[in-house]
Amino acid sequence: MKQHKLIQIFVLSLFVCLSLFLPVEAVRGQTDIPTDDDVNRIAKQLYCPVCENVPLDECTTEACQQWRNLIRQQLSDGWTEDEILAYFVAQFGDKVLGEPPRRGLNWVLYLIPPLVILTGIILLINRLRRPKVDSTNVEESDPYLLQIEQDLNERE
Amino acid sequence: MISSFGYMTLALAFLLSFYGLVILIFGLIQESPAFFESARRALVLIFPLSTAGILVLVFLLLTDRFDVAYVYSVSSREMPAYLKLTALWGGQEGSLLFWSWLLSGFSLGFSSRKIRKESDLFPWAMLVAFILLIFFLGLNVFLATPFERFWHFTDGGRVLSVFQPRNAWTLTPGDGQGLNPLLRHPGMIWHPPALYLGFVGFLIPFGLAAATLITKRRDGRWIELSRTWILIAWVFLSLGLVLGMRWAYDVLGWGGYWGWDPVEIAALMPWLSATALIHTALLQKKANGFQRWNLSLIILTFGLVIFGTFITRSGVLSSVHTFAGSNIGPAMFVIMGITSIGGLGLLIYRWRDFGPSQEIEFGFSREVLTLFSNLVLLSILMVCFLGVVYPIFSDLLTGTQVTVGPAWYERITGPLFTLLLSLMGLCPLAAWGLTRLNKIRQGLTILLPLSLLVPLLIWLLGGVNNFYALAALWLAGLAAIVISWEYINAARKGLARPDGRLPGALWVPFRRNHRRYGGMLVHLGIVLMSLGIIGLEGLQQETQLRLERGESASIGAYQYTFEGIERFTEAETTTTQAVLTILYQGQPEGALYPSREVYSNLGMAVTIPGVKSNLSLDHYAILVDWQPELPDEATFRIFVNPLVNWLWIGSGVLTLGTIIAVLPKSRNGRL
Repeated sequence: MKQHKLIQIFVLSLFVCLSLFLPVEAVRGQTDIPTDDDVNRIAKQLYCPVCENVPLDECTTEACQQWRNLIRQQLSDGWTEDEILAYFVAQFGDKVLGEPPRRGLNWVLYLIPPLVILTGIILLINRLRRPKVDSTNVEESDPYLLQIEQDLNERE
Repeated sequence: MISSFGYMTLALAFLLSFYGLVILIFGLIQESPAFFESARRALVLIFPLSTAGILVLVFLLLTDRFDVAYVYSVSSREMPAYLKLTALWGGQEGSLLFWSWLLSGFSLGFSSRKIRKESDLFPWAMLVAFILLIFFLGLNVFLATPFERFWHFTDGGRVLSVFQPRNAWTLTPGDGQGLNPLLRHPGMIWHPPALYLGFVGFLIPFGLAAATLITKRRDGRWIELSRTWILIAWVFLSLGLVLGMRWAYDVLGWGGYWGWDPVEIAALMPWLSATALIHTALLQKKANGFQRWNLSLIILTFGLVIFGTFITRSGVLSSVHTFAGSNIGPAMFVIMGITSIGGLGLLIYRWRDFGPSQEIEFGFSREVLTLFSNLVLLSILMVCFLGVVYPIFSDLLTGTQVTVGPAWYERITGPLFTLLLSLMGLCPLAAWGLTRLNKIRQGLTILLPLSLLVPLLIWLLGGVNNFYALAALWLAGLAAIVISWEYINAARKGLARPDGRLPGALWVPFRRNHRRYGGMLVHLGIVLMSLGIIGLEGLQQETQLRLERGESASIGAYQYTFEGIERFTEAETTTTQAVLTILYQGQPEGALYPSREVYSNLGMAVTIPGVKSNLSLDHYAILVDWQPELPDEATFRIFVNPLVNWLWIGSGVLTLGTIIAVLPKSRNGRL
């Protein structure tokens, strides 16, 4: 019985971990004069439209500098984070987003991993043999046998 | 000429590998060991030949022979000798030659007495080596030779050729183009060779696995013969990855160590499958099963190694790791097809011959936990693969280009890595076969509360409030405590013996069971590395500010004051270096020197962060912007990176643990 409880706890903690897959809402709220940190917070989520594989907050090219200035301008004009991101997507396509938006085919990216992992767990548990009742608790308290087991473990 | 000599040695090595393959096939048809012996001698001879080839290239690099196109493209007069040496793998042709040389070196392993004794596996394993050697040496000889020279004709025409064309004269440029500035770093000495050793090291396990499938040999001898090779390849792959992280942290200047670049992922994937293999290889020994599973894992690992090489060397992807203008893509694609289809085909063809695994009982046992860790490792691998191939599919199917960046990878793999950490904490508590719960309960009643002290102390003393980071630190603490507890228990037994005394007793667990305790040390290394990762991913703080001289920026209790900027020019390189002093609660704590190097001859700039490290955190500053017209103003991006040093320390512990685990045993089974 205790063994089963342990397994239940294990499976439960697994689900808790998997729940971290759920989307997290983006940070909102800006001050009046946007700082470099405010700009970077948004630029971090974007990829440089011209250089491959470089996030916009790190890119050192002139073009990226201008795009960061544009974000600063938009922030001081009162645009929200979502509006700025939407503007960049409209200008350059989904490719500028560091994390693909959750729509259409992109759902593959968010659904396949948890599905595969869950299927893996179910398959694995099914492949394992059901434990025999009380096969493990017979000599549980015998110190002599415990010692033997411990010594055997060390000899492995 | 010496470069032609280098080329000839490679051509000869190529011909010998061809000869070896033909004679081996004859031997297999005729079942004649004499042919095998001839093939083996050819295999042994290929290594000195390719060594001669590589030494010639090293000589050309060190003596500034810029008439050789490869030397011209990767080296220059002002580069120090160590960088000239590393230019060997700083370009496409050289790195492929280095790869072939390692391949010929590891192939010698097939000629070892242990493997030769397995007369059924031995010829087939050699066959695999010959096929790969023919391919890679063929690339060195026909498609990407590093020995081509510049020639010019009297009419002004120019040509690239290994041998002197009729009526042509050598053309020697005054200086070379030099190595890409990003590659001019001590990391260049160790990162590529370690990674290549890790990649090519899987040749022997792969060859033996293929031979096992062909010969239907079911006694699992291949895994016994492969064990040390797998661990050696694995530790080099681990070191290659960590050295790459360190290099990125030191040079690329974005405050991180891992950007989920497709090429980084390509190196991580075989590491994940090899890690899974190391664990289930134990199950094959203990539970006498999992043959098919282990054979699948080694084929997957080697397939991923070739896939990784294909990605980096074919030019299909653009990244800091790839070389432009590659013409070997189609050829690399062919060898990738041969290894993966060949491996997979063999596996499917022989699937039934290797029988189902022995059943394992569900419960709290090391077997079950090992299987779960395998599941998690392969899930991470699947996520990596999905992330790399998805942009291609999205483009093909919907015409939409997407970027799969770090945010996605971190969101999906974060929980999986956390799960792995918790399995590492639980595993040492479980024994092979079902564990009695009393034993764990005794352990857990002490260890669990003890482990809770870790996040509690960090929360109270370190002022860390991030729940996820605290939870992850708790799991890391639990794993470290469980591992230490197991080790201390074993060491106490050594102390209890009549001759037992410190510090000799500390070595006793390793002497009695070096594989188990070596493995635990590797786990401890991973736990320590995870501290660095948690620190950077969960606790990093940053700010970006434009500062005038004398002004300060603050992160928490730290204050960074811009003291000034210096500019100096050396040869073709102009360095702009700023000085930031650090104050902690009003007390000076050293200075940071972020800089920017501009290579006028190459039209490139490199941002070098200023870093000040201690065991609890790194101060890390980047000079983002500075204009000569406004010399007293500059923009800085400053990071506080907690615990990051443990990432590097942990990798040292991991290496030590692997060395202990692979040390050969004496006759009585002890070290």
